[in-house]
Amino acid sequence: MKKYKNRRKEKLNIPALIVISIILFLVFMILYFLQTNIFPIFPISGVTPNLFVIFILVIGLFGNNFLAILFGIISGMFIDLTYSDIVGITPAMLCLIGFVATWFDSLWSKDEKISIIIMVILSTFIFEFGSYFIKSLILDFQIEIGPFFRILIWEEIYNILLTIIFFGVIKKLGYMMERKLKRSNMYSVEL
Amino acid sequence: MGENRHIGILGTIITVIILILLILLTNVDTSKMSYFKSLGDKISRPIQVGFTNLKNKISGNDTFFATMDELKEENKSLKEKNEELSENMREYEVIKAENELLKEKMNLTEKYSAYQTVSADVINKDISNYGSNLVLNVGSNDGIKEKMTVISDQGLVGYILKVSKDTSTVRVITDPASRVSCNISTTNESVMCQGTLDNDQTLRVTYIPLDADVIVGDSVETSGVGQIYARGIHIGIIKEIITTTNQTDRYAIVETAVDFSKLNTVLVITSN
Repeated sequence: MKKYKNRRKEKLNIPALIVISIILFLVFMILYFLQTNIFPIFPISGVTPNLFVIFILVIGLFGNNFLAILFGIISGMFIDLTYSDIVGITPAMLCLIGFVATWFDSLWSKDEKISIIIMVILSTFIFEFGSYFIKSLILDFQIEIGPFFRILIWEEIYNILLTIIFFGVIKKLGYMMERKLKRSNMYSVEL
Repeated sequence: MGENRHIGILGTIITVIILILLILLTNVDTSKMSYFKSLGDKISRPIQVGFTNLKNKISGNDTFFATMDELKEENKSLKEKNEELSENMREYEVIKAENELLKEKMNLTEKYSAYQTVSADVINKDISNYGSNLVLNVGSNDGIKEKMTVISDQGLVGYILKVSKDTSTVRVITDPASRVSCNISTTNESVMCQGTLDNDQTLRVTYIPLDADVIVGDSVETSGVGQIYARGIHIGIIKEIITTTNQTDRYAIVETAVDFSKLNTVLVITSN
C-alpha cells in the first residue's frame, strides 16, 4: 500500500509521455487489427481472447494511472462506437482495469510469470463480468450464468496462453516504458 | 541462469503447442477427420498387403499376381486421369463459389421484391464474445437509417442499431440483448424470440401461451409488432421444446434459418 501511495507522487516526464503515447497508440492499432481480423480465424471453442484487457493491464503495471486511463478511454470508445449501442461501458471498465493494475503492482511482483497470469485472470474476470452485468441491467436481458462462465473460462485460457507466450516481450517493453517515464526531466509535473 | 532461460524457452514452446492443439481440437469438423483415416490407411496398407500376399502364397491363390505389370500400367494411367480430374474439380469449385455468391445476391433481391432494399456486405463482426453485432459497408450516404430491418436469403438477420456515413451496425437476432415479437406459423400464436449466449445459431422462445400447441418443426416468423420488423419474415424452425414443472416457464429453442457464421451478404429494407 505504501508503494501505491509513493507511486501517486511520482513526477511525470511530459516529452517521454508524448512519445510513449504515440507508440502505445500504434500498439493499440496493431492489437485492434489482430482482435478483429486474425483471432476470429483461430478461436478456441468459438471464443477469442481479449487483447485490450492485457494491453491496459500492462500499461497500468509498467506505466502510470494517466496512461492507463487515457488508453482505457481511447480503446473503449473505439470499441463502443463501432459495435455497441451503449457508449461508455467498455471505456469505464478498461479504466477500472488500469486502476486495478496499479493496485496489483503494489501487491505482487510483475517479474514473476505466475503473478502476471493471476493478474490477467482477475482483470479478464472483472472486465467481462462487469461489462456483461452492467449491459444486462441497462438493456434488461436475462443473465445466463452457465453460458457466460463457459465463454469466460475459454477466454481466460486463451489470455493465459498468450500471456505465457509473450511474457518476455511484455516484460521487456513494459520496463522500457517504465524507465523512460521515470527518467527525471525539468518539464515534469506532479500527478 | 542459462538453464532457467532454456526452461523458459521450452515452456513457451510447449505453451504455443498447447494453444495450437486447443485451436485445432475445438474447431475440428469430424467429417474432415477422413484425412487422418487415410493417413492411417497409408501406414497400415503395406503391412496389410504383405500379409495378404503371404496368405495367398500359402493357400495357392497367387495366380492373381500374374497380371501385376498390367495392373501397374493401368494404375499409372488412372492416376494421371485422376490428377486431370482433380484440376478440373478445383476450377469448378472456384466457379461454383463465385456463382453461388452472385445467385445469393440475385435471389435476395427477387425474394424480397415487395420491399425497397439496399444490398450490403458484412465487413466486420463483434469483437466481444458476449455479443453478435455486425458491421455493414453501407451507411447514411446509402439511405440507411436506424431501426431498418436487415434480412438475408434465408431469413431475418436483425435491425440497424446505429449508422455512420459509410457504415452501419446491425443488432443480430441472436444477440442476448435482442428481442423479436414472432408468430408460430401453424398455430399463429404470438411469442417472443430472445437471443442467447449459448449458441450463435439458436434463439429462446418465451411467453408461449399456456394453451398453445407448439410442436418441433413449426416455423417461426416476425409478427410485425414493435414497429421494427416487417410482418412475415422467416426466422427459423422450432428445434426443441423445454417443459418445466411450472407450465408458464416452458420455452422452446429455435434454430435460426440464417447461418450467421457464413453470412456475407445482406439486404437492408429501406421501405415496405
